[in-house]
Amino acid sequence: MSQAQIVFEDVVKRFGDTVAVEKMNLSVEQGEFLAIMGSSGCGKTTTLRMLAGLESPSEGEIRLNGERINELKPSERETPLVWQSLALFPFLSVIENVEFGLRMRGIEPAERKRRAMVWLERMEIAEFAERQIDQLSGGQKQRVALARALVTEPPVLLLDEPLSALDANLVVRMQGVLSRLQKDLGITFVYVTHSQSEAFAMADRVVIMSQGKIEQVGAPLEVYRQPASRFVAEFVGSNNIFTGKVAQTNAGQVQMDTALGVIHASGVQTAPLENGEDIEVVISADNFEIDAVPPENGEAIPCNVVSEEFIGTVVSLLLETESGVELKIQKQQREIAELDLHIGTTLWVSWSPDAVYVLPK
Amino acid sequence: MPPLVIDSQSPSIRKLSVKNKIDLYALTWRMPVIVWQLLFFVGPLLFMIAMSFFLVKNYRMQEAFEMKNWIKMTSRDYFWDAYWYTIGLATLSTVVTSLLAFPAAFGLAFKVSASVRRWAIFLLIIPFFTSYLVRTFSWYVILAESGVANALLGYLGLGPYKMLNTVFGSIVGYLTLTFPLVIILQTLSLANIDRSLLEAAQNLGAGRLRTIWSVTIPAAKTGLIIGAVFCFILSFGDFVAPYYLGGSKPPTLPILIIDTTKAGQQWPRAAVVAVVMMVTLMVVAYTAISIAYRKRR
Amino acid sequence: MNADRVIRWSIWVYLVLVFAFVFTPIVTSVIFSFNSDRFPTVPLGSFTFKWYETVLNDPDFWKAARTSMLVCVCSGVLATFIGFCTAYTDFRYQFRFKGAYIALALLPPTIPLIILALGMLAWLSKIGASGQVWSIIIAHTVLCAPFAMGVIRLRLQQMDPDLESAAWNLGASEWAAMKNVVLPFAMPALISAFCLTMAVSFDEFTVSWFVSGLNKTIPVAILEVLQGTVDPQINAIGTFVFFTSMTLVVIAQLIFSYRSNQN
Repeated sequence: MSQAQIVFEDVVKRFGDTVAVEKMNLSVEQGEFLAIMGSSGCGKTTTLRMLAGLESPSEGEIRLNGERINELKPSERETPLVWQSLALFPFLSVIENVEFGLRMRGIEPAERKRRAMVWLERMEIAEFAERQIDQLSGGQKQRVALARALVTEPPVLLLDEPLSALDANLVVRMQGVLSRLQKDLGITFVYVTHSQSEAFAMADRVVIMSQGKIEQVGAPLEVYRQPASRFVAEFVGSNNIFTGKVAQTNAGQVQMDTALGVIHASGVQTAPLENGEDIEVVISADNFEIDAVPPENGEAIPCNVVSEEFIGTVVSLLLETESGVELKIQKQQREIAELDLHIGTTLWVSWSPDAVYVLPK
Repeated sequence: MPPLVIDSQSPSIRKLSVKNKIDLYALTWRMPVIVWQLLFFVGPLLFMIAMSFFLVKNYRMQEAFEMKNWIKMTSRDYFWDAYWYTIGLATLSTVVTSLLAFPAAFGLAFKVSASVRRWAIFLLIIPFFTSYLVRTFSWYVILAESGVANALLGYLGLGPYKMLNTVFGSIVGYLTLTFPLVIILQTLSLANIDRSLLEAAQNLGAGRLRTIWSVTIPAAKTGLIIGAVFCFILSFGDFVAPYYLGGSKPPTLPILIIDTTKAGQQWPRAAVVAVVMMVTLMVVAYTAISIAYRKRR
Repeated sequence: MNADRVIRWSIWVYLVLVFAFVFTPIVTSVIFSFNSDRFPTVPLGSFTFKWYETVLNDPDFWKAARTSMLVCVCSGVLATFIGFCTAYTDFRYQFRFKGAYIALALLPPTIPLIILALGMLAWLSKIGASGQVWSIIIAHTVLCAPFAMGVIRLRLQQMDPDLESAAWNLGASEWAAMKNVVLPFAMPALISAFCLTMAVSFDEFTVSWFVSGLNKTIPVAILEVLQGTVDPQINAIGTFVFFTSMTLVVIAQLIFSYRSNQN
């Protein structure tokens, strides 16, 4: 049994006439790694800034450990933030940056130096303690920013797109560092990002936001496999979304007419569907089978290859059916190595009824 | 943790309007300039306007609201002579300075490298921090009847020319004051023109002078006019050039203010002159700036 | 014929002439300050320090120099303080009538000095504050604050706006963030602004002349000598004033560009 550590209750944030966050209800548990995702302007950063006290909610209540914190000034909260710009103090050395929070709390010089060094060692940057900030690399600055935020041993760490300025392989390294750190410390991380791969790689739960509203909260795989709305389905992963009408339903088995023809879905948990009802279904790009020849049972659609793209070991294909419907398909490179793919090649595409997910209304 | 709060109860946040609450921190930074400028900038100017309606009796100023000073000053020919003479001189100075500055600014903006341009602008800033009085005194010595200029011209078998106490002398003085500023403003506005505009004009077969006249100057119009406005304001308000190099006959409005204040103790009459100057400058600046920002045809 | 070449050359020649005109009075003044003739002209007389000796042995000069230093240091401090407050307010806050606020702060340099001088004289007499050294200080602060504001505002522009929030986030109150983050960041600009405003104050004569009463500053002393006869002492004083101002300006420039490049 764990008690919710951070609670947003009916929180609204308006800037003038624009609503940045609309009626937000969210609770975060102690020790959780929560990622808040969305495109720019969706309210994710505002949410984080409200938690840090840099914006105050227009309505509603934010609680930390059961206590209302709406009125607390930023300096009175134990919610350090790792900034997107890092916001390291350029006129202070590395160790002075890390000591800053302790100095503001009136800790003795010797003690704060000792505690700062502990963190510099933990972040593996102790050798740079006396350097100036502009003498560090991007990854080293990142570690200074983390050490500076964590040195006061806060219960919660807020991170605002901390990896967005790093190059790709460094991002993967820092993801590892962050994940391990969070597990070791056992404190709550609230991590704002627009990057799906960062969120899915590290978070216990992700929050998808759009236009100030929460679209879905759930474990990464849940959000990925069972998007709660068309927005989430489009935002997360590479999904194929089809609209159609229900033709026949029977205990979780649904048959529907779509642009792809008649589609069967099994294990549908959406509220009872009626015949003739409009419906949206999702088939994830990695849920298709492809073959150069028609399969035995004949349940396959012929498509032409429109484009192909290699992303590491994954091949991303864009296919087109004879009636002009586009399909996004992803396969491991080795799975399709024997297929001779070019633009224009005809492939037979099939999928299992389990792979068809019906979007909730 | 004990609250470190001194000011309002709510967290005061960037760009958050703190209505109906006194934010001591914000006020600490906002108030000094308001207090100081109201007390020692707006105050003096408003008081000066009021003073133009005061009376002077037995060499003492009395607060009143009479048109006497205004009638006295505006009914005299020498006031209007001084007025038009000052406007004439300032206009001449503006035209001469702008015309002389333009080729230099044009060269600095288009014909030299960026580092030469930076150095040139740095050099042009230096005169702002040297005594204008001392520079005027130098010109006085140089332009005098037996001064350096006439001595050098003498070697060439020319002159001597009378340069001090002439309009020429005044203009040299005004140039000393305004030339560097006008060159800097013109250079900056020319350097900001989109180069492709000029290249397009030349591609279309426009000659050099044609390009300058119909593309470069209109594109840099705002900056050129602002330079001219500053030149006019500085020349219009300067007393040193027309006094020491121009001979102060006829007097300009600033000289009139000094004479009336220093010699006659007639502060209210000086205030009339100052108010007339202020109104004139406002009209000139407003007209020029609305032309500067008017949309190009 | 290569027309481009001709144009380029004539522009260079013209630029040299322009700079010659601008620097002639400054150079002449320095040269004549070492020239023995009472009326300076060419050919030059002999080399001499006598004008400097005369000036340095003149108690009135030292009195004026002390007044000038006092005025420029005090108005430099006040103007830098007011300029910082205004620049910080402009950097950090949005509020109604901000346009009017900024206009109020930046307007003084657009009003002719002679008008300000008369207004100051009348107003300061009215409130019983004229004819004192601090009358000049008050007036010079009005004149100099906009320059300080400009220099400091430029520096704050280079500051990551998150820096101050980061300090609050780490437990600093607004006052502590000011002391530990904003001021250290703005320090080079504060020093530059202080030097620049001192230089402006050190050269100002119109307003000083009106409000100073018997407390002459150096430029006012020069003005009064000028009203008499040609006196080469002015060249000596002028050279002294020139190097004082230039030192201040160069220090300001060096500090500002050095620290700006650093960050």
